[in-house]
Amino acid sequence: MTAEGAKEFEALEAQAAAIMTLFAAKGYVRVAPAFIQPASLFLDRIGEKLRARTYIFSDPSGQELCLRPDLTLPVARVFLERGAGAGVSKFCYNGPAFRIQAKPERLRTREFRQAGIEYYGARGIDADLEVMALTLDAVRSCGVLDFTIRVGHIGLVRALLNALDMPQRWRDRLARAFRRQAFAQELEILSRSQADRAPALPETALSEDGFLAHLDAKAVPFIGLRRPTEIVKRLQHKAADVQEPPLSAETVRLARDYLATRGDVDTALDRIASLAAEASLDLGPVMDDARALLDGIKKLAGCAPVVFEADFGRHFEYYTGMVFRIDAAGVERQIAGGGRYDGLIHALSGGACDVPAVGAAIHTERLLVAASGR
Amino acid sequence: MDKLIVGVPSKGRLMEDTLDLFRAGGIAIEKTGDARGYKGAMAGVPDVAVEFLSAGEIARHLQSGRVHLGVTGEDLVREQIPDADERVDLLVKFGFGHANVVVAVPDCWLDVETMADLEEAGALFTAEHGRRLRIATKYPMLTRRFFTDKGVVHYRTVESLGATEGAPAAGMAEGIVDITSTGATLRANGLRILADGLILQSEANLVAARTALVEPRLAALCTDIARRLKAARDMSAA
Repeated sequence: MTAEGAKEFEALEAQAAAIMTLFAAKGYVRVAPAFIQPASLFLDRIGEKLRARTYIFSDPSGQELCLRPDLTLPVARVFLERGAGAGVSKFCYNGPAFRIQAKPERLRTREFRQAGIEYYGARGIDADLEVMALTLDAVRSCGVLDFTIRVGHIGLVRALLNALDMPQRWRDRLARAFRRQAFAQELEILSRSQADRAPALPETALSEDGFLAHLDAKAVPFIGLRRPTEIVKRLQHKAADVQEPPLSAETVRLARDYLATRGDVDTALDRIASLAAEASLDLGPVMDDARALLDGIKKLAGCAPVVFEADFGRHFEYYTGMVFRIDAAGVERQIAGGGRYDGLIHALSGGACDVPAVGAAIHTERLLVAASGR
Repeated sequence: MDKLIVGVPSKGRLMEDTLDLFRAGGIAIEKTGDARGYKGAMAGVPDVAVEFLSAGEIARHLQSGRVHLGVTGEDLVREQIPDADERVDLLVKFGFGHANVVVAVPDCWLDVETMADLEEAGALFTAEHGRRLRIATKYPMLTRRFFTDKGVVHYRTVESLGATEGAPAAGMAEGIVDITSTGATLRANGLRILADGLILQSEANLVAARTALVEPRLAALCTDIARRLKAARDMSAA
């Protein structure tokens, strides 16, 4: 649906006004980032995958620009441009986002309006629950009461990996594989010998001086921006991988079972706790936090079902904790989604500013479809 | 009556080899009108109109269906037609115009031998430098599909329309996706092809726009041309 008819336009405007009033009443300051954004903002942060879904163009000076495919990054830019104040900052927004659709449909349009909130500067689950509460308020205020909340937790995935016995670089590999939905394959790879990773190099090349001397001797020019230290470090890691025992069958089974955990919140968390107990793993404070968070979400949800999915929460690599999506009965695609992305501001500011963030966005056309039941 | 529009390359070795093959198949192509023009006819086949076009344009026109039958590289077909398997048929491989589309990185990256290495090196590069590895290419679609298949996500493409293999040494990119025949140019520019970095073994093909060939008469003509060219190719290969 695009709001080209007068009726849809009015309905969408009225719905947006109600949602923004609700956000403002809770202290969220309205911001309106530019529609046109530097393409590198998205390509460097989210990567090439986004290019296929984003309208990218150049201006005559050759600068690559794009129509914003999402508002989280543009709002984060506003936050940084305003000086990234100490303490907490709360922003809200409502405006169009643009995505290439191979086959546009009513619930998947090239142009759609997102309404959302961003809460910067607070780490605890209170902020997570505030964002969840406000999102649910907005959905309900539009008359949508029949919905399901799906929740995942990236912090739990990390805690599990940290508790398992393996080198840190393997944990990082698995965490990256989780994000691209290749966790099971990566587990399988790491359960085999890594002998094929042995660099075909003399041992002496595994230091920075040795490496540069080796290049010299082979007349290989040093080009590119990766520094010798970066290359040598990876060579050392690959050499170390060869010596490392593969992941045990037990570790693989545990990680698989964790990933397959889904269902009602209490059952799912009990299952994870018992998996951890069986393997004598300590998931640390994250487990208690997750339990408190999910309890809180259940209370906010009232009679709406809350489903925990251990393998949910991939895609956006800055997610660090809670991730969620809301699906309305009778609407095929999610009407809202969000989560905690503590790594985003740090990455966006080039490490200058380390501020935690949690936020949510509502796909307002889909919300209207859910509300009107058409 | 509608004619079968056949697109053939308008210049270089690819044009010469193409015209030779059509001649060998008994359906020689001659330019009509001005010798510097871009229109042609096929000897003995009056229902055909030949257009001389760049190989890239041929792929694009096959996609839109404006050209019914064309001679172009598979690399361009796969790059320019996202749903190529639904839109076109690759009828005859010509046995010339060979080019491999490959992923190459600086040879000095001794730690990066495979796409899996590139995945990890890319992630570490992003963490270290605050931005993604740049892959210079004129094949962004092929690159994206192949990298996704291989699980490489920490990179971005930068457009390169010429001398792509010089981009890393010039500091414009970290790696490239480009065509190569012998790999000598890559080596001369300090680059190395990854062990599993072969994206596509391309060659010149006779390509039919499936959706445009609904009329039985044109489809039959198309089949006949394909049969003759296949026979001519087999003769020249023997």
